[in-house]
Amino acid sequence: MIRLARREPVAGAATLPALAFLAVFALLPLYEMISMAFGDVGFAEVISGEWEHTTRNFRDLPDSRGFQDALENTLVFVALVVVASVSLGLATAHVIRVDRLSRRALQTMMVFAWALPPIISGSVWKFILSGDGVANALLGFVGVDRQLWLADPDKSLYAVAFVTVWQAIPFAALVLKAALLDVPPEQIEAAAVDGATRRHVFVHVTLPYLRPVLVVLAVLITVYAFRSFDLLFVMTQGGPGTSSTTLPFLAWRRAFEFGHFGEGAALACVSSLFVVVAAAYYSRVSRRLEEG
Amino acid sequence: MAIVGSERRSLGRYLVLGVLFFFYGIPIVYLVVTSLKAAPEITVSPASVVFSPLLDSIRAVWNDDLWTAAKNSAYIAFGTAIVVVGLATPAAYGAARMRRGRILSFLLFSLIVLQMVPQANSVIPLLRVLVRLDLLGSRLGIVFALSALLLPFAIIILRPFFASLPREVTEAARLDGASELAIFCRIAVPLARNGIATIAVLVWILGWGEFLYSVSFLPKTDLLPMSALMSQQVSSEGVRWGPLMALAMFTAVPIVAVFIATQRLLAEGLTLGAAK
Repeated sequence: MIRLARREPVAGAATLPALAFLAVFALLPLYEMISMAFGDVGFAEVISGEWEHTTRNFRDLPDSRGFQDALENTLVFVALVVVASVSLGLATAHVIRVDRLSRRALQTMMVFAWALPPIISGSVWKFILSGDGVANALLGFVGVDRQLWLADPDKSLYAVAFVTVWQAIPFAALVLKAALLDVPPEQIEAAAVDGATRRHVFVHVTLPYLRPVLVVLAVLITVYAFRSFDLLFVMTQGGPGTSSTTLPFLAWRRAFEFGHFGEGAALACVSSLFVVVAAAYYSRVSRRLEEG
Repeated sequence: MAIVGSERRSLGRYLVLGVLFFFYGIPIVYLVVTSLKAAPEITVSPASVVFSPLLDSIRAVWNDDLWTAAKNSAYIAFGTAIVVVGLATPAAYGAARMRRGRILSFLLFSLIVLQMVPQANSVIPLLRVLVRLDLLGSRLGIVFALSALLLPFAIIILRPFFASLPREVTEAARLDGASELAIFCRIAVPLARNGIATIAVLVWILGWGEFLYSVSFLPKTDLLPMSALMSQQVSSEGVRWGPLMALAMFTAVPIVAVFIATQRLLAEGLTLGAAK
């Protein structure tokens, strides 16, 4: 009787509708991605479903300029976004953890910025950063020359990274605010009684407490930056040239802009390897966090 | 009272506060201001906030296309919210009740991987899948594609809400003769109400702003959502800033409404992904 009750008869069964759905719309695409990556696939072949098999899509990748550039852009973009979002998120969390009207107002604005679809925030920032835009007008008042933030190949990637950080900070700040409030106040007091400076308390008491959260946050923002598409599309379309094209964006461009679906699928396979590594690391650190 | 102690009036703190207000306020200000400016004024004095407001840009986009696009966005937003909540709720309940072990670990890991796949990559093979299912060029195809993207995330977020349901409660109900369906509907779902509402709101917002699948899978016809209508204001001849900002404002209106209604839920939902 007790054994019967312990067994949860429908536990697994309740997951079946979702799993069936994911099999069709998430796993079948993974299979198709691999099969397209090994094929000479244009739009006509996508429709007919028949194509010639080839390994050319993968063999050509290492020597392709577009691939090398995208790889470099991706590394710079992701590293920049993660470091900036986490550190500025921590600074922001310090400011908004105090419950005051001004901080609540700021937090509301920031959550709104995060909730806004990137197509909207991207359009507004595109206007602000355009040649005849707000940023140049404001900087003109303090004597800075007009800059082409989005149309200069040396700046476009950084400009999009800036806006990506702008969208990620609210997330980082709220997560870190919750973590900061979890730091036991007795520990901080004890350190202060012992004569520790505020910097000392932060480095030796607060930071060790935050470390697991910081690691999980860094992984999540890495994935967030890596996946970025809408902002890139709206603000620079990956350009000028390939100056702001990241790896997943390149895959989309090759497929939907140039009709090389096989090549796009091969690039998508390479990106997916990155995702599997990130997911493995994430599930390890987040499990450790959950177990305390 | 360590918090009060560390809350000394430090210059750095107010500097950070000021900078944040500036950077998070300025896009909102110029979104509204630019959509109310005359076309020449937008590029001649982009930064000025003193001007005589005009409704030219708003009138230029206030037409049937706007309503068609709004209807399409609503279709995608509500459709995706219904599919995701409808599938994720029982799935998260099931995953929470499953015995810890290899199967559950593998399931959760697979969900994490699927949650992390870039949309710009899944869009390529999805084109082939939608062709096979005869869903290419339809709004329903977008709903299913987006649901598949968000479903793993929703299950991961909802699972802990059901895990807090004590086993004694379900066993007592079962001994009283309650069916499994009744236990799920009457005991489990009410317990996870907050989580379900958060997921519904988050998915709705993401569906309303959906862009990538729509520009990739929908023909340039009356099926396009608001986001695609916005991107049409950008052409090789330049950007029509006034209409673009006016459209952005219209697209933001429902988000603002949802935001005001569910602000606390959203602020909590924002941190859910990282907390557990």
